Amino acid sequence: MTRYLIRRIFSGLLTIWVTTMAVTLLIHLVPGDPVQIMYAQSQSTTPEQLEQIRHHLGLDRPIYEQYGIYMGRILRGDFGTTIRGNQPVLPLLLIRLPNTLLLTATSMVITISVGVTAGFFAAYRRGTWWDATLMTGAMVGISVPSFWLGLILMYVFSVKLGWLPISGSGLKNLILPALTLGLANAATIARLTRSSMLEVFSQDYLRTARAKGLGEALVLSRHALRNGLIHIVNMLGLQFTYMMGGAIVVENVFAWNGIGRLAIQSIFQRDYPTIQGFILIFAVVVVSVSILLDVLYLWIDPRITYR
Amino acid sequence: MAQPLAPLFLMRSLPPNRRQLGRFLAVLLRSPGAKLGALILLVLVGVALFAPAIAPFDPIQMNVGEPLQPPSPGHWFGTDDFGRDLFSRVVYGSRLTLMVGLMAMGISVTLGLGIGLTASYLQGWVGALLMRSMDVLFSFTETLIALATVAVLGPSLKNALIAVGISTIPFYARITYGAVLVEKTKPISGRPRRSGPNPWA
Repeated sequence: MTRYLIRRIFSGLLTIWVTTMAVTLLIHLVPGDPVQIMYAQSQSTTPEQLEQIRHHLGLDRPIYEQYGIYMGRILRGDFGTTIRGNQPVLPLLLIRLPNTLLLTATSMVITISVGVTAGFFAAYRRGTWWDATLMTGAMVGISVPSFWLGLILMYVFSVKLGWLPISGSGLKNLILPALTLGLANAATIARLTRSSMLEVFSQDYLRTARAKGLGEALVLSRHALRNGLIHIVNMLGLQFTYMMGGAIVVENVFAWNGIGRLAIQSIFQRDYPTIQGFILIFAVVVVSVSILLDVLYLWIDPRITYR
Repeated sequence: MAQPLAPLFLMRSLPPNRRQLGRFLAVLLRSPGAKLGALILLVLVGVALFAPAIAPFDPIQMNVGEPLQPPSPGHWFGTDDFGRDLFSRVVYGSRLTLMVGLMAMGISVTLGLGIGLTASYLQGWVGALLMRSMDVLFSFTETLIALATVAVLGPSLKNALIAVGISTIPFYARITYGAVLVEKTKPISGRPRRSGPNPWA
């Protein structure tokens, strides 16, 4: 186990390194020059001046040299400065990261409590009107686009009832975007939980557990839920990763100052240092979740082996 | 973000031969939910196929005289800021949506399923390499993949579909990877392997 973990962390670091390299290559492949985009409006800048700015930013050097300089700085904890506005990149990302984390964590709580409960109960009471109602709700949840759900929630709770603010980044502002994301993901999780649990409920070992005289609660939690858990945990991990990469639509609807909006903006402005910084941080998230999932598989189902 | 659930259902319902396919379809059509779903899908495909006959207006024809109209008998869904008929735009849009759904899902499910299955079955350095490259791809985010695809292949609808397809490969690979790990522990996947047949079957 420890050896596996060490190997896994090592390959994770390697993955992050490859990602930084690939992303540097990729963003230089994408047409569009940051300097040109930045000075597109001003007529008075001459081509010579643009060349000078490029030289100043080091953009005229060969790409491997740029990457070398970049990596050297990263290892010293310096993420560089933005091309537009010349601000340091790291604080820019670190201000938004807690916002994104907060939104993600809150909506995950909603997703797990609503989605897993609903799906589990629907499977347990299969074929009843509980099942039908919950699954219809899940179907609606999957079909409704998040920007629309967000706008409707905003209309009801902010405009009509006036209970919650429309947008911003405070704690009270958190409720609506978290609800939007949480419910949308909960719908998926509910369906997945139901189908996983239906498979488990048909197994003999549950009858054995009941025949042994185990209480229903213990049968359900230890014997039933745990055996359907891998699919659910897997999906939750993916949803978490997606949201940490920025729930861009919801962030935009609610003007939530998250990392996703910054990322999109920097991609369209070809702000290389910001894109690189964002992808680096996101790669750390992706790799961490990936390792966590692989370890969780082992914990949930000890029969699983990696070889 | 909408996350389609297809692979798990697909994997469980894959019929190994035709007789089972027939039985599977019979069971499917007895369920009222499946009937309703099939009906909705048929209507959607019909609308997409016969879009020119259904849409009352040209979807891209602008009409400056009546921008942002509410729904009315003349314009069922109202008009947009350029005075274009929204119902006609939705009807024509269904073609695009179906195509994106089919093509992009085709790419991501085929490749994602294949990579996840291979990695989970083989494990070892091949499995690790496959899943770690999925992590790299996942880290790129959709927007960057879309821009890069357009940069390499040029801007077009087909390339946009490819971009959407590529960016969701890691999602399906991960789902499949986890599901196969669980299936591998069951005695049913051990027996046929020992008794000889091709493990991929």
